[in-house]
Amino acid sequence: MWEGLIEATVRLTVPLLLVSMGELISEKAGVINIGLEGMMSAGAFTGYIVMVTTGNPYLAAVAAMVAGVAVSLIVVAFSVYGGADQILVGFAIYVLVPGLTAFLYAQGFGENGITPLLPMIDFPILNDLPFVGALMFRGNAFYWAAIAIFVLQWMVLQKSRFGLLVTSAGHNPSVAASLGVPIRPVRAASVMICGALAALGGAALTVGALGSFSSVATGGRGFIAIGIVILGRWRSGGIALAALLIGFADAVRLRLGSQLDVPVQIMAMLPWLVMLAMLILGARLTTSPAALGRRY
Amino acid sequence: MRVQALAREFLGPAIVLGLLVVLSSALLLMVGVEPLEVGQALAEGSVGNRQNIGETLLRMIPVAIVALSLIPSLMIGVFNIGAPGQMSLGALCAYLSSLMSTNAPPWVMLSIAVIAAAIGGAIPALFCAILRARWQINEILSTLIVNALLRLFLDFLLSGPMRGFLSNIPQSDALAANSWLPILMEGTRAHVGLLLVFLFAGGLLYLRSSMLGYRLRLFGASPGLSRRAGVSQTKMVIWTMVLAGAGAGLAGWVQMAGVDHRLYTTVADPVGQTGLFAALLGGLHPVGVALASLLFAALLRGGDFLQIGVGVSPELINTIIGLIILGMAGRSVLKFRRDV
Repeated sequence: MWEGLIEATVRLTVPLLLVSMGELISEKAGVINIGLEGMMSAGAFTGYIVMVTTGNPYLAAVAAMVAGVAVSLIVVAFSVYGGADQILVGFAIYVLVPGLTAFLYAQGFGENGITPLLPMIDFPILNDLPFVGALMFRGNAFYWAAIAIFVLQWMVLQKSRFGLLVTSAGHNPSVAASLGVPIRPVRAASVMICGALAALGGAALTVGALGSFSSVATGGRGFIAIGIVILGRWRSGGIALAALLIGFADAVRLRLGSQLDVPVQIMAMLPWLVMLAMLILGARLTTSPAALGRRY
Repeated sequence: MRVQALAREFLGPAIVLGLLVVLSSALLLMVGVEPLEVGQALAEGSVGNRQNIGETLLRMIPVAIVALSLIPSLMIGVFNIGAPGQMSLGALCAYLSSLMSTNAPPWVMLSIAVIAAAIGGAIPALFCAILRARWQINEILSTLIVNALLRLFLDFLLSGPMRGFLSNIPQSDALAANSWLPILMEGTRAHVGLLLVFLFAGGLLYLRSSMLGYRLRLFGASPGLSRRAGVSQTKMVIWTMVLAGAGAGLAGWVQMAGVDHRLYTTVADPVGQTGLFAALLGGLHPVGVALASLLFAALLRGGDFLQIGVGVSPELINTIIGLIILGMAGRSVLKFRRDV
């Protein structure tokens, strides 16, 4: 039972982690991206279509990221350079892109079908460890991509010059600008990275975990990711933990729900209740980027 | 001079509309559908004849109630997206209240249902409002979570304890006839809920010119200044959100008691979400919001019609609504450019 639970936790955490990391860098730079769900949906659909057509998961991932960046360019044009309301643009993308992918899918755009499961890649030797072996050293290409991006993003945000620029753009853009930080380009780059990561998360869901697409494939996960960034207090490590927690709650629902004598709907409340509880418990500790959501 | 100002005022919307038509036509051509045919079907389905106008009004009622009741909270910058959940609970409470009697006069049952629905919608809103006012918990997230929870709760009730007799899908038994909303327009399904829309719009028009409306605007423009003027932020947030919740609860009730006459899991779809967008598109002005609700209702009805008439999936409508909101955001880009 534990093996199954761990496997499901990892599988459900990967898309969440990827999408949350995207939102993290965007919010760090001061752009709140309500349209995350749309970027995710773009990646989920594009990745799926490319996977069905070519059978190549790497090509699917790249195509998904291109689609995500394309959607993020709307945010760049309207919110970052145009000074439009970030929330409004976000809502527009949240309605527009999932509507578009659902429409194209329903109209039979491209080929359809179930894509094959991706092969698991083991980390040599360490994957034989009990318990943590299955949790941390075994996963498909998306899992390893998420781990690599996590480490990379942590280093970039904490140690690099670019990380400092991003933080300053999100914390006090006017002061940063007077010190020569190009606020808009930095914000634009962050939003585009967010688009790529969110779309990769979408592809991790359809290509990496489900093997299929449906109009409700992303199912609110974009908003959950925004919650994860808040729960994780805008830190890489915190976000990983929060994503793992929500992924675990989702896995418990999936794995134990069928075994316990609890109605499915009540079990399905679990991830949401965990998130609500975390939001309430962590409310006082919140330190959001000071200029989050402000136009510059 | 005035002509110029007028032209400038209408230039933005005209550009947006043009782009909208071009983009959606391109999309339709991409999947091999004749755009003109879709346009015709949309027009026919939404306003083509008396019955279709009735269907459009039927969809406008709950959208407008949600949208109008969201205006005060949006004026102070609270983004409450909890309408779907609040509608579900409002509809549930109204349904439960209708079980009290099957032979009491309709006006008694309707009065009880109004109160039950408003309270049902207000409770989840109050919860999220307290979270926001006390601990600064983001209301977009908390209302979203509550939406999911209430949807699941309703699904649980309708799949189990409240499932209708011999029903194989999650829905309740039919409502007793004394709890149905009376029809307003002969020969259509448009019901008296329409009067609620006028009532809400009138109340909000009055509010705009009242002291309270001034305070709301002041608060929205500058929370710091209004705090010094003695306006309590906590009270403002809580009361405007509770009002929005009560409105959404009523919308859930009219949807349940006026359209399908039974409770089902997706009672809030797609009205709850559309209401927020109608409020934003209408520029938070009661008349504008009512017109925006009418536009979205026509699109929704047209979308339903598309599927039967032309075989185009109704998801197209979400794409169009998304483009409209984007266009609206784009108009503020034009304004922002002028400011700088």
